[in-house]
Amino acid sequence: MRLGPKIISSFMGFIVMFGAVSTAATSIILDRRMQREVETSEVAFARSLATRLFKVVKDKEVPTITDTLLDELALRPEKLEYLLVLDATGHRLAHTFVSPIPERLSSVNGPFDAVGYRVERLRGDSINAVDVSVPVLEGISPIGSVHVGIRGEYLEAIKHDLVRMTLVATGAMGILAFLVALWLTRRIVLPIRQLTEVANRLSAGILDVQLPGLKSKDEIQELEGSLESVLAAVSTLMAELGQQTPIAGVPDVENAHRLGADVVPEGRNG
Amino acid sequence: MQCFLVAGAWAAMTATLIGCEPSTTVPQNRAPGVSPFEIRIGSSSALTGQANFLGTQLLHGSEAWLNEVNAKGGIRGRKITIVSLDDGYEPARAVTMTQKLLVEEDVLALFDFVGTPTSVKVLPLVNRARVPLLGLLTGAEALRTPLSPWVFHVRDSYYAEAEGAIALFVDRLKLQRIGIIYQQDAFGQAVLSGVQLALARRRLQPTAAESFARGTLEVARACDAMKSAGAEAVVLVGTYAPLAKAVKTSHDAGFTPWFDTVSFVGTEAYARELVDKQRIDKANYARLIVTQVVPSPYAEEFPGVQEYRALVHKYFSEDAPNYVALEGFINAKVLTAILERAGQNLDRDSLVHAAESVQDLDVGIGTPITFGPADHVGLHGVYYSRLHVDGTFRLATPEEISP
Repeated sequence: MRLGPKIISSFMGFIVMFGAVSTAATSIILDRRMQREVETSEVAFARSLATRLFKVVKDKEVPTITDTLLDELALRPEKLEYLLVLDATGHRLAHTFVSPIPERLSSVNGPFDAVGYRVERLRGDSINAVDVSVPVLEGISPIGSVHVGIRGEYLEAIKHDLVRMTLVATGAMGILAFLVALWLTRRIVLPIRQLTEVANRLSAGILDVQLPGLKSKDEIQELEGSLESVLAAVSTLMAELGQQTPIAGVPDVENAHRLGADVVPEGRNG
Repeated sequence: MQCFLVAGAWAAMTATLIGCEPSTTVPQNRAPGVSPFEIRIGSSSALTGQANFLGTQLLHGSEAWLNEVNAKGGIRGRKITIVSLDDGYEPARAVTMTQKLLVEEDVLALFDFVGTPTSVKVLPLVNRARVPLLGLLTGAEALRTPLSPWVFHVRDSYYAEAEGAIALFVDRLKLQRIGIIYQQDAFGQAVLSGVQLALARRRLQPTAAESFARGTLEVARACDAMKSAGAEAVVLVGTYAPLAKAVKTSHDAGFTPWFDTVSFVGTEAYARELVDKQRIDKANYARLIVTQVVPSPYAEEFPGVQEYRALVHKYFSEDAPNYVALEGFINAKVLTAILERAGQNLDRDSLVHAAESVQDLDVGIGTPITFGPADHVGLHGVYYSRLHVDGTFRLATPEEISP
């Protein structure tokens, strides 16, 4: 394979690998961040709701609880799947559903851990949500619980948006990398190709060659300098050779060896 | 070549990941409330409390027709069951009852809801559940604009009733000083807005506007304000008990303007309250008006009204004919016509499509009913009724109503 495609494919391979790794990493990081988001904002929301509903939960004023829950749901319909309030025995007091309640929700009334809340992923035929629940407390005694159901679609949409942005950024990086690779290819391969051409002509015994005259201060420019020295030396020798008379009794080929010139096969000297 | 393969792989990965949409879970159940032998329809209304007359009579009127339809085999072999719950005209309870109908009672559609504050509160639930709601005993604009694809009104609006009242007072009776006493809730605000708009069209403003708390009889202050403002006519907005009290309080103070209220009052209950309980002076009967959105339940010229009286007598023999029950009867006739049109594969969407296809439906009241995708109000037109010397409100033409 030629040098140009090698450079470009190496760059692109790196970018694809980088994109895949960064997308996977982003996905994992976002999953964790969203978990933290759930634990901070939604637990705080559930707690504020539990505080506000304390009296009506204690008195089991179902219409008032329902009314409050529906008003809250209406404020964030794209984020919240449902709001649910259970009494101390796990019996449903009020909720925001407008169709039969998914069976999966009947088991969300588990004990609260040391931090005083529960987060549970609910997936089923008719539900895809993260249930965040906090107790409604009277002193230290729970008299019920408030459940905030965050739409699974909402969480996934955020994740997809961010992954999409990462992919777009990676794509942009890929295009940039492709252009850089092209530029590098031109910068490295083109002078080498020119010098190779010069070397080929020299090897063919053609001394009337023009070096590209590279401006860069790098190894390729050094290579050009070396070629230039070789060309100058050969040109000088050839000139000297042209001024000397042949040594008597020594064949031309032997003279040439003495002068340090390249052995040029017959018929190729032009 | 290799670089193109790599780029292609990257593009494919990107396309795959970008193409991934969040998963959605849409339960595909059978149509709610429909079985081979039954269609379940839910109703939440005031069956107890201050507005119980409205809820019970609306349902009786509907059930009179639905019982007859069921007795004749139902709709395409399915009997219609009305699941009725009591919200006591309390908005929060109306929400809970509606939710119960949708979640626990497995109903196809909602029907015969009573009141503005209750219905306004229920509307977001209806839209979210995408459940058809037909036949509301309210003319509130908030339930009509913006148009909900799921809500169908048989009756005309409070704006139309307010326009009718102001047209009578200003255009016909040449009165200029119009006051309004309204209940402090969405119902009161709805009619107040209608009155203000109708007056503004005539370059007028309410002479005075006073409110009272819903569920109370505290109207004395508002009556004093009307008298002080020198109102020639007063639009009253509320339920029958406080409105009758307002009329009595005003009369006792020597203040006898024209009084008008909208159909929601429950005309017969209002008449009983005025005549039997408040015992207002018969000399002032003729200045008490109620705008109506259906013909008189005693009308002889309409076959639909005759049919209503016959069926109410058959199924609810203790009930006297009344405007609210007639409205319920008309609602039920519209419901069965829509169910018939919706066909055998009945569900909520087909019900809405069927309702929107109703054109010039004749229910025997002289005015055809028409809905459309952009028009969910079936009946247009307002009637006037005036308290007659026999203590009942009877229909009257504007020409019959004179100073």
